[in-house]
Amino acid sequence: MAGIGFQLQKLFKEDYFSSRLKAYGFSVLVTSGPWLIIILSLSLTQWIIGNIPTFPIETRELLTISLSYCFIFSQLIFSVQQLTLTRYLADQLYEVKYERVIPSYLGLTKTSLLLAIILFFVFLILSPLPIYLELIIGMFFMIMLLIWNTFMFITALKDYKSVSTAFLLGGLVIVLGELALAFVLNFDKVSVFQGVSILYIPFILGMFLTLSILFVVLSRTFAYKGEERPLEYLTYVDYFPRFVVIGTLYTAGLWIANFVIWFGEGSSQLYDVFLFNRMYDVAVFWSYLTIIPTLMFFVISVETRFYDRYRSFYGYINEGGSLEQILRSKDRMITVLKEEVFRLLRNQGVVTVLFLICASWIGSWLNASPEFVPMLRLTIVGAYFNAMILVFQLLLLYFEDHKGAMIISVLFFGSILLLSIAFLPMGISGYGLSFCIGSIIAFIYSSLRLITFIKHVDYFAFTQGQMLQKAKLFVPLVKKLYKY
Amino acid sequence: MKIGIVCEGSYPFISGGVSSWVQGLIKGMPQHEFVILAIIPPSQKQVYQYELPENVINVSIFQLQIENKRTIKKKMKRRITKSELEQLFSLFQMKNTSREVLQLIHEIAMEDDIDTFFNSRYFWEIVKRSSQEQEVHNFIEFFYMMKGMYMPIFTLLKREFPDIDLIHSASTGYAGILAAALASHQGIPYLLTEHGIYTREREEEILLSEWIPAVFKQRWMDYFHHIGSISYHHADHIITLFERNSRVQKEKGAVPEKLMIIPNGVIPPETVPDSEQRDVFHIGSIVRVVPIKDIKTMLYAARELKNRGIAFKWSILGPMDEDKEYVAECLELLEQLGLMEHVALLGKVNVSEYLPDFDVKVLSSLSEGQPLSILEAFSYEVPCISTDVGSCMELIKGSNVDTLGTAGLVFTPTDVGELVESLIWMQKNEEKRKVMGKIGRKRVLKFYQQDDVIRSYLELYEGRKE
Repeated sequence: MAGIGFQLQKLFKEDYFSSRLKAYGFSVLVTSGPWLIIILSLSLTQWIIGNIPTFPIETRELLTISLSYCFIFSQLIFSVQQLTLTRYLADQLYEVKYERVIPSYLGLTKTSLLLAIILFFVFLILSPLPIYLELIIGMFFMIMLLIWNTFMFITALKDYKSVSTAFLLGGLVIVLGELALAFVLNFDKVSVFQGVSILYIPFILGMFLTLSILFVVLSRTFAYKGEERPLEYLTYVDYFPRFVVIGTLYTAGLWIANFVIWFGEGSSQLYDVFLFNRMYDVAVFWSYLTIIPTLMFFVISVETRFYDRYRSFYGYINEGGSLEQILRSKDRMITVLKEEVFRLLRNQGVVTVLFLICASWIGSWLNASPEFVPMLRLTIVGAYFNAMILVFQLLLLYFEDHKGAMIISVLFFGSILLLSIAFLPMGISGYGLSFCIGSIIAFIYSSLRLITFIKHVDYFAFTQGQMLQKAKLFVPLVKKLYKY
Repeated sequence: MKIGIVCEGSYPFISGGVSSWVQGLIKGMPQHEFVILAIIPPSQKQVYQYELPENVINVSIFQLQIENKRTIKKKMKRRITKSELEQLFSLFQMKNTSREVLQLIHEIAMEDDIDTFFNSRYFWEIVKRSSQEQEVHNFIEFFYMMKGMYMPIFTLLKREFPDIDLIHSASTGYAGILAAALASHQGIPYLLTEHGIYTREREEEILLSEWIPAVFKQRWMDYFHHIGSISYHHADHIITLFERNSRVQKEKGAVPEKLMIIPNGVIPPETVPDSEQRDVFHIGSIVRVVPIKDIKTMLYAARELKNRGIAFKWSILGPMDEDKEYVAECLELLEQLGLMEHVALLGKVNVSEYLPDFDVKVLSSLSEGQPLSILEAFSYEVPCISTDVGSCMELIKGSNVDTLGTAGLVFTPTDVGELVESLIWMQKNEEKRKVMGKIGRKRVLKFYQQDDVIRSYLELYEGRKE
């Protein structure tokens, strides 16, 4: 995400209150825009339909659960190729090969849709829902996936205004659409499936609008000049195979505790296909909301101030500074990094503590059972460390420590998975524990890794760039495919 | 006895003075076995320029790796202790020529990939400290320079050493390092014969080179001085071909007690056929067509002779495959100057068939040791005109112990005018010229016979056998 920094710096330098506010607004939208909008529209929708006395609980539940499934699994599929493509895209833009952008976007679309279709078929086979509803859910699922894809390309453009507009408009359509439906639709007259299908329409329309805006912005900026080879980016999987592991396992780690707990005490099943845990899933959703400040502050503080020092450090190395200059810029970079990381830890800490205090209030507001509050507290703590892991991992990726970033992902995913299985017999009272402890373990490792790595960052900068992976799988395949 | 001969950039893939010397030495000692350790750049074509004598039992090729191979990063297997790191540091600071540090490099190179060491913290620390010891404005260049300096040494020593009784290197430099490391590892004697002064030749190259940043030139020169002093430190005998070089070796730090002079030698023909009357003045040159031999000066001199209406022909004998670009330049110049009828580049030929035909032999080198081609010419009673480089003056004019007289003329390198005057003098003074030729042959018979050279080395080899 290096790059958003400059735009934001400009906004901060103006230093008017309004532009400062704009900066924060942008960074929220850019970092967490898609899922914030989804969660907000979903909550508003819930609130809207919750206030309709005739509204059947089954309809609401099926809508919520299927939307969450679309959300989680589209993100999972996206995460497989996310880092590979980010890197590929960054390199193409750096080399001013703008004509490579659209083909690689199409390539990503193809491959991720292929994965999505495979997953969707599994769903089709397992699910007893009527086919029209299945197709509707599938459609939304694909749209979500395409939004992630397009969104990633757009962030490279640094056109934050259009990103924000796209998501706000999409969200608006959803909320207004649901509101209108709430007034118009008579839920007594339709079946649960029909009801859900109808309620899906604003979601599909809204997200499709967002997708369209994003796509128009993208294709306007990068004219498609007919130079093809959409799958060329796959060669990067050979060069940076760790990116696949880093991206996939981190995202899987976010949800793996849920997947395990879906088989534990208190879990429910809708129509033989949607497993969920009413209490734990809600707790996790709420917890992820609490770490929005980190995502926001990371972009603002770390990427603006730190990025300056980072560039000057690597500038001295690559353009030939003296050792003294290199070491001095390294010290300055570390100082800023320390300040910013501590500020992040502190700011998020304040927010997290606030939420911990308010946990019981949230519990009663949601009419949750008494076990919910301690569970929520655990997941909030877990989310705190999880946010820090994300930050440290991104920093390690900045420094090209792919191995470190990979170990973090593996540790994060692995420890949560194993702990979840181990704690499953404890039942409800153990929920949240695995997520919390697993996050802490990965956090401890990631901070140690970052500390030791940055201590020797000058050494690594000189000796690491020469690693070359064996190009065995995709490079020959792509070459064969495009005959060059 | 099994004798190892270390050659850098010469025998058996490149012909020339040093290579001929090696070939002669081996041929002269059929009773001993020889192992050739040939150090060559990776780009060198591996085609033998000599028919290997039967007593050569092995040719080991050492390619100097300068560039990084791109490998997956690995951790160093060999731990390097603090004191060992100090050893390495002092080597990289050009202060250490010890046996221990050579063994250390050998061990590290044997146990790990070369790149692993140069990607390690150890190397990083050394470069950092080195850069702090002096003013370095561009660290990344300094870093790669250090790699470029020491990677060849590590690759050189990444080998099992052959089992031999004595090691003899034909120069200092990398050949000297390999010989020194081998000698101290096996505990065997080490003889060094230096034809040209290696460090001086490198110095000239460095000063002329465009790829070395000016600020690093001094360090590169110091580097070659340092690796030269490693040879001087470890060699039991430091031999050179003539007095002038011996003095330079002393200046460069060789211990006087180790210094020796053994000149080059040739096998003169039994008799020299009486030359017939020739209608044109025949000039001969026996040189490889490479820049250091300065072929172009000869061509310009030829043009002057032609302009002055002198009837002459000039035969240039010697291989033309070493520096294709230079050969092409020379051929182009030859054509431009309209010398096609006068000058012939004949390539690699059997020299002894041509020598009796020459009236005079010309050598225009910018740098020389003790050129065999002059001795060969002398042995056929051909007088020589040569630049005043290496031992050419001594060969032509004699020395304190050699008062036989003058066997030719000398001129200043690149001075076409002087060369032309000398040639005209030779052409005009046929009688004096013939006297010079006879003196030349006498000189060879008295001082520069291959048999004597072989005997001297045999004494050294066998005297060292304990």
